[in-house]
Amino acid sequence: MRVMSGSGWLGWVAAVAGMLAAAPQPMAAQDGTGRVRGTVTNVANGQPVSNAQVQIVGERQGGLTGPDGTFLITGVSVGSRIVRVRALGYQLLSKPAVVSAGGTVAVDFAITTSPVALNEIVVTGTAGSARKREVGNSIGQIKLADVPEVSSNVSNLISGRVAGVTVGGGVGNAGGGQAIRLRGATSVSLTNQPLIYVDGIRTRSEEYPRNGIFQGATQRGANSNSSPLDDINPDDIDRIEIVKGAAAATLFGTDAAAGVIQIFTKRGAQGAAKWNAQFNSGFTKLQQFGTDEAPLLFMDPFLRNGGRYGVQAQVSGGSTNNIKYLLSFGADNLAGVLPNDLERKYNIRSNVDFSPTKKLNMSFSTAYTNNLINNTPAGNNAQGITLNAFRRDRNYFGNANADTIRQVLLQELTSNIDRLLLGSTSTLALTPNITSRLTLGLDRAALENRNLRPFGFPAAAQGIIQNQRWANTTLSVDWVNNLERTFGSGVKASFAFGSQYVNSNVGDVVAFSERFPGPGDVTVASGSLRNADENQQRVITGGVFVQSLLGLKDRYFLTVGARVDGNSAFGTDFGFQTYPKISGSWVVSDEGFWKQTFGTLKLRAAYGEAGRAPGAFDAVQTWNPVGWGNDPALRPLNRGNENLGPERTTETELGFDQSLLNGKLTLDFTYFSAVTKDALFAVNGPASLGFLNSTLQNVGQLKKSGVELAINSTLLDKDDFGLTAGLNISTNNSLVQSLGGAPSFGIGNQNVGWIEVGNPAPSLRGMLIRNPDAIGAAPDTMSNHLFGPSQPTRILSGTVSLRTFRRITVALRGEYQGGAFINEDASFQALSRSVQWPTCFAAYDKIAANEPLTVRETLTCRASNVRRTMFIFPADFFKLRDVTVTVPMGKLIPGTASSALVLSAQNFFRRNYGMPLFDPEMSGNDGFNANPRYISEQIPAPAMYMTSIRVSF
Amino acid sequence: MNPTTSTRALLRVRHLVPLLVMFGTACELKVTNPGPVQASFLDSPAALAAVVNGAGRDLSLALGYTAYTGGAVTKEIFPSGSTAAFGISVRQQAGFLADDDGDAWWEFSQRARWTGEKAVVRVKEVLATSAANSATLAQALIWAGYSNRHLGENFCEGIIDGGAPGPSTVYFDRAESNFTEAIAVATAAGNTNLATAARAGRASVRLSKNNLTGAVEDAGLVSSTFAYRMPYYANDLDQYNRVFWASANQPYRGHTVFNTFFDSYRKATRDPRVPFDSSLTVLQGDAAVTFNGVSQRVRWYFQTKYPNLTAPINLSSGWEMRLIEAEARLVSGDIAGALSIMNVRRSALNVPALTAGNITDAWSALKRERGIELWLESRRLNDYRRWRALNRPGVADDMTGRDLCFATSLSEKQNNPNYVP
Repeated sequence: MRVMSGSGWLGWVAAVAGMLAAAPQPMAAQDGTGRVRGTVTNVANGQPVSNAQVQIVGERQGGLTGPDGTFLITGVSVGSRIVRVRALGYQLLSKPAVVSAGGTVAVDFAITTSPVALNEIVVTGTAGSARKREVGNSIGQIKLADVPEVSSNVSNLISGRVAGVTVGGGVGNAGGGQAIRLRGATSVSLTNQPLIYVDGIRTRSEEYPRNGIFQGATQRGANSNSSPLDDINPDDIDRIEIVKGAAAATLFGTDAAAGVIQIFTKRGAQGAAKWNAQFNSGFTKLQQFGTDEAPLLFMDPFLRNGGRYGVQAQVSGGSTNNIKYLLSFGADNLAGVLPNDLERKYNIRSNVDFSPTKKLNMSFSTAYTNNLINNTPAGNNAQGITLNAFRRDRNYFGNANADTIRQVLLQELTSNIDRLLLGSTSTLALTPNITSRLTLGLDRAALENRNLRPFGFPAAAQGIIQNQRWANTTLSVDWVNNLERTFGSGVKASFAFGSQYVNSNVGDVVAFSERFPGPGDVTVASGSLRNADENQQRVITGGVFVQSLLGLKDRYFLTVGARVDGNSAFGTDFGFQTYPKISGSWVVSDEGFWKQTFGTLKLRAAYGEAGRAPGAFDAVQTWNPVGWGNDPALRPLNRGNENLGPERTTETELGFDQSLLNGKLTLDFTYFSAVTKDALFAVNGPASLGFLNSTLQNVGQLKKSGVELAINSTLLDKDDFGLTAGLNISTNNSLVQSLGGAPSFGIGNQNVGWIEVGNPAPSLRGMLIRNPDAIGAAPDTMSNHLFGPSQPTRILSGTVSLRTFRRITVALRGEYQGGAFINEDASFQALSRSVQWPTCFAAYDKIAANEPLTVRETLTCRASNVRRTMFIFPADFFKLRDVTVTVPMGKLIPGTASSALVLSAQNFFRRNYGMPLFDPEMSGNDGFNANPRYISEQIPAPAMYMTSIRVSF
Repeated sequence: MNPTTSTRALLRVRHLVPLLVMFGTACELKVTNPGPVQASFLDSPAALAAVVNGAGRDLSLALGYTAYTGGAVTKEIFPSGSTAAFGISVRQQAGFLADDDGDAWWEFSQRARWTGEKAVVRVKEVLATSAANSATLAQALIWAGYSNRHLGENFCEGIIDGGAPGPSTVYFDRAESNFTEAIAVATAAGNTNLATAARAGRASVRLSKNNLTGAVEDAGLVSSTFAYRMPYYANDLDQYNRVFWASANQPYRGHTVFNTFFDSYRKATRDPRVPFDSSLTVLQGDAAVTFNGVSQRVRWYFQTKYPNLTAPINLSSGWEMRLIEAEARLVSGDIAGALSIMNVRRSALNVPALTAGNITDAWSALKRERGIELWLESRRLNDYRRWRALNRPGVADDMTGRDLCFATSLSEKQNNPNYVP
């Protein structure tokens, strides 16, 4: 509880801060005044909002809410008063109160976040930071305070929340990560994962290596990849800013063309220690992904409802000598739906801010995660549970008996991830208008993949073991200098310059052996035949940038800037690269002609370039030292290209941010158009030229364009009833504009994806059955038919939050994706092997009864007719991402300042529009950058049902 | 803001400029990463052995693929399970070697030719005049020759280094040239084994070119006990003998001798050239296949010609040379002479002698005998193809409706701008 009575806004803020630290005593109203007390909560999730400013309109009395969201204002004049709550990032909210002499009146507030808070500070795409009104590009932002559900990981947290952002490609294995695409794919050949920054330090964004075998049958594992993004404890996050494209990512330079995700973790605030804790428990359950006759594709004997439980704890505060801190701990345990699947994750974090002098602020962040994952062999893996269960008597045992198939569970797959993030930011204010900020970061990700098939394992009777020690160290230095000056007549100018240096070193050592002498616990040394592998790769990017912002009357803003980059992976004939940017914004609503009823409106436009560098070895011709027996041997590996340079993506954005009806309706609209020149294509040469691997060449030009519209509204806001809704709509259409004279080429699994001028990049081609339902007719098929893009062209996601009796809130989040096609390879693999497959059950009955088949049945249900490209389906779907009920419990739990019960069901409803089996968001064996994505013998991500108790002390 | 303060601050900032330059532009951006070997490092005498070995390894992989899959199409083995990875696809089981059923056979074989031929060029460049009597060059030429022979014997079209498709005889022409040069270089190097290997290889190529005189001339210089074999190793999966690995109980039991000519022939004659065995505990292959029109699991009779994963595969042998001589005799109408040559071998193996009442029967016997002698050595497709082209009488297994060569891969067709079928 916090109290305030004083004069002057700054004065009472300072006074409150002092009182926070000094265990304040409430003042009694002995002088004919009254008191107002209450609680401020977030309407979206019922959580208390701390540091909100509560003020009596027309009076100087006011205060700040405490960690539990409560406030108490004394010395309030009696009579009818208006109490107003103002919090950063939230809409202003006022309520009437009748104050009596010596009495206390209770006024509670449930406040709504404000997407268009023009004076809010953001970091997105700027050198340093800027107010939203000054930024010319769109800003995607997620505030954790708005997230009602029990967050399972950061990837799920982002999913469906920001227009133009898709998260998919995951499977149902414990610890499996997901790919993130910002405005779809930017590159055909390079990674499309966005860069990830945590508190300003560059971190790994690519997936961790899967726990497979480095030689021969590499898929002997679970065939899923974990995501470094999911090492970050979602409960440590304050907000996420998303830079979706090159227009805003210019200052990040080479590698930023696929966008940037910036994560800002919570920091301590001045005041007494604030404790938060969260206790989670629940379970996961696999939903139907087959037909009604075989809803789980014969996986039933092997599945379980996996348990999940965890605890999160945080303490934060600050002392009077300018030291602020936040310490957090998290533990999460998951038993997956597959029998061997377990994930046990621990997180600790320390964020410390302090100011040794008035001109120097220093922030230190330390985060450590340990994630131990056990998996079940799965995927397109002859020794995996899914493949052998799907294929029943045509599996690699020739036997559908569950106990026989369970023998694959003897394989032990363990991944142990150690992740350390260290960061420091020092900001020196040389003068009030000149600052210099230096951020040093170290991201160390280390992984041990242990893969054991013990003695007696089917198909490897003498046993096989592999141990992979992999590590990625990213060292980043980011130096930004800002000079700002305000001239008379409302002219503001700022100039920023600085540099970035990123040194990424990734490598692994793999030890492998097979043929153990007998049963027992083994190491690699136990095998009689041993082998090893080692890979090392270091890439350095260095660049400088300048940016200038000119503001007029605090409503016209123009920003120009450029970045110059060098990269160790550029070819020898390639030098430094320059990426320019320009953007502008106009706060129309600040103009005199603007009527108040039109709300606030900002128009914006941005243009910028960013790049994407090739891999470390792509520029040079290389040979692979493969060995032959005990002798050295070399094999052609990469043809090389001395002229290799980065892809350059140029993007233009136009849009507006508008707030209407006193903030109750907000619109955020953006049109974007991005052209990637010098696009890097992995151009396949004919095998008769010796090199079987493709060669990167800067030959193409790609375009993608679309619109993004985010609508948020407060439909009702009564004391005991409130309704808010949000809708994100985005479109994205890609096009190959040029191949630089190169012929069209296939990419991805079995070359089902195609890159060809005039079509989406990539598009899927395959066999179209023109008369699928004709009975007894000759098949009318078209080979190489263009189905369409592999990326969704239209995405709709919506949220609804209903606040009811006693502030119990019910929140829903759903998403529809459409326009994409996907190759469902598992059906092909099964049907081409004469597996009795659920989509053909009716056909088998007809065959037995000697009745005619439809053309589709004839082609897909008779093994000799089955072709790989017959199984391209629309990937359209709708998913209910989560339904969450939050029940505030106040101080019901003794000794707490506040508490809440959260019930959350996630990912429990899906509807496919076109694909008969599986989940269109699933993936195959090939990680986050499979392009195009395809589906193999995996299970989809299961539904999760969680309860959580959240308490504050 | 106080202008004076600002000016002072700007003066301070100027000291940051050198730091900016240091961070931003003067940082060392050049990185040398270990691992893959850059091509320029190979132009050294010390690297040539690895280059030449690479050609051998590439051929060993290609040979393993075609010996296995080709053997299924030519009925040397019968599928008994897996249809992918180490299996035989449904269409291959039916005798079709289609271009959309995988690229590996073509790609591995073409790479073997390319690395062999480029190894020859590199050795000559690096060793200059001393190459003429270099065993390293002789070995490179032999790998190039056998790679070309392998392509000619197994693939339908001839394509060289991204060129236009033509008849597969182009490979035989190159192979003959490679072997001819190898004979000279190996002889100059004093390496009799390599010289004989080249001569045996050239004999087989000349047979395929229907140059019987040349073939017999070469064959006559190769003793019956000679054999030049492709080695296989246990180091990793790609170096295994693929025929053995696919048929072994662990992990696949992908093919069987059951339901082939060799099943009954071996039981009748105990001919040690086509050995196989069965298990008392594991009776069937690892999955169902179509047998007699019904999807079912079949008996697993595992071949033991290659008893382990390091068993070598013959590239040439003296007994193959004798069969070349026998075939030449048949072409000239000398039935007795042909049978006599073949029965020398059979007698030594204590196998019933061959007899033939007419030329057709004699051809049938020769066709069977080549099938037995060269069983699972990736040679059978070419025999059927050339006999069909030359209208040789006699029958072995019925190949009606079955492909007799591997198609050019889709990847070559799609990525070779000169490919116009």
